[in-house]
Amino acid sequence: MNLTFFILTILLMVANLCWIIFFTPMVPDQEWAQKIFYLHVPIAWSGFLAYFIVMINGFLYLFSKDLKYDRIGHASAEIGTIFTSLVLITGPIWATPIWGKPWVWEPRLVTTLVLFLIYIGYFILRNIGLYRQRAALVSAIIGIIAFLDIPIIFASVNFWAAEIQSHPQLGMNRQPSGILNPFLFSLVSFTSLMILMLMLKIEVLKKKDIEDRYV
Amino acid sequence: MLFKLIYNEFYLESKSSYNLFYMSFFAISCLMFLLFTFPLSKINDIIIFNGFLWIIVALSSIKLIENSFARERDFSVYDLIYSSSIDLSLVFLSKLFTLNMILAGVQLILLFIYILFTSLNFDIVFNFIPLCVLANFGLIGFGILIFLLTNTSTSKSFLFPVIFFPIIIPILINSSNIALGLIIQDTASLYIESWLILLTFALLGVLLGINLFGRLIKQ
Repeated sequence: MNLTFFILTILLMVANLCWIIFFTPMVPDQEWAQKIFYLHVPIAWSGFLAYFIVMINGFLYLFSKDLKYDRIGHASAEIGTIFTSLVLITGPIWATPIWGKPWVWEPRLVTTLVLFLIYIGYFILRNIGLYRQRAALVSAIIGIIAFLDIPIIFASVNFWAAEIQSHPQLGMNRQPSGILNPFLFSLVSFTSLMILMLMLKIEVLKKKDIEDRYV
Repeated sequence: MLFKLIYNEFYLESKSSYNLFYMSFFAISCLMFLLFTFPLSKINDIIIFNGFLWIIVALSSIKLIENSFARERDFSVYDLIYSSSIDLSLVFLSKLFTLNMILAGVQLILLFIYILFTSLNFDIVFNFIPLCVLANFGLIGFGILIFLLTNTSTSKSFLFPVIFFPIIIPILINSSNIALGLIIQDTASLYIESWLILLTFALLGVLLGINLFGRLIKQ
């Protein structure tokens, strides 16, 4: 793995956290709770990007039957699920002071939870002792089907009870630069972190496949 | 060939457990359960009925698909069908159409019973037919795929619903949204978009099924 990229990502993340904590403006009414937005949205973006990679590699595996694509898909699914669980944790942390309760049965939360559950099913299925090619085929199909939920998550606010929440990204282009710049920086940092984690996980999976003589 | 396969599916159906009767009985039992569970003041609430309709449909679709494959094994025709020279995508399509029709039958029987308890009338119920058929394509298409994905596992009876339910939630939500629009005879919020999402799921269910059914059976 590229050491320069590793160090650059760590530096980006440290700088990102410092910028968020010390240099972003306090928003009236929300105070510290608003700062979660700089983490929550980039984490969600990175998670969805990881799931997009799962879907693409699912198609590539179905066409080529090359286990390389299964390894990338598997690694992306794990990282996407880590990020999605972080989204499900940071969301309630923000919601507790703002909405007065950590969880409401609100469309975007529910559809995100559904996505998380689909991927829990994905991992259960991967780990029930199917032989390697069968596990790869099954994972590719579920990865493709599961991605269907992501456009629905984006559209969910408009579908049901839009008045319940206002997600910050809906008006990002109208945000002042004091908020927009650290947000974009955070987006780049988390994307970079996601790619780094992906590369590490792919290497681990490849070594495991070499051990099991699939490569 | 497709019509012959569909005929065979219906023939096996009538020779076995009569899924239409069996699933209708199951669906009506669920409905009765609802009537005994909710307070009397709530049972004519159309929103509760609507929600429950799609839960019953989801449960029925699971049983239908399981029965369909179990029946092939009971009659020892499983190997005969899947090792023959028939294009397996046609077998998938025949299953899809047959189970779709049976599930639509169950839905219609359920809706006719709804008429007894709610303000629904026959005109509204007949408007449900395109919705039921479209939703069933998605439910059955994905259902068959997920069933085959989990089929080789020893814990398939647990895994099938665990994976199937989250995947079909968008179908259930949008069907419910359209159904509400049809019942109140006013366009619900994002009515057209809900139809388009159902259509997307139906098309993807059919396309993925046609392309992957054979591979999943053979592997």
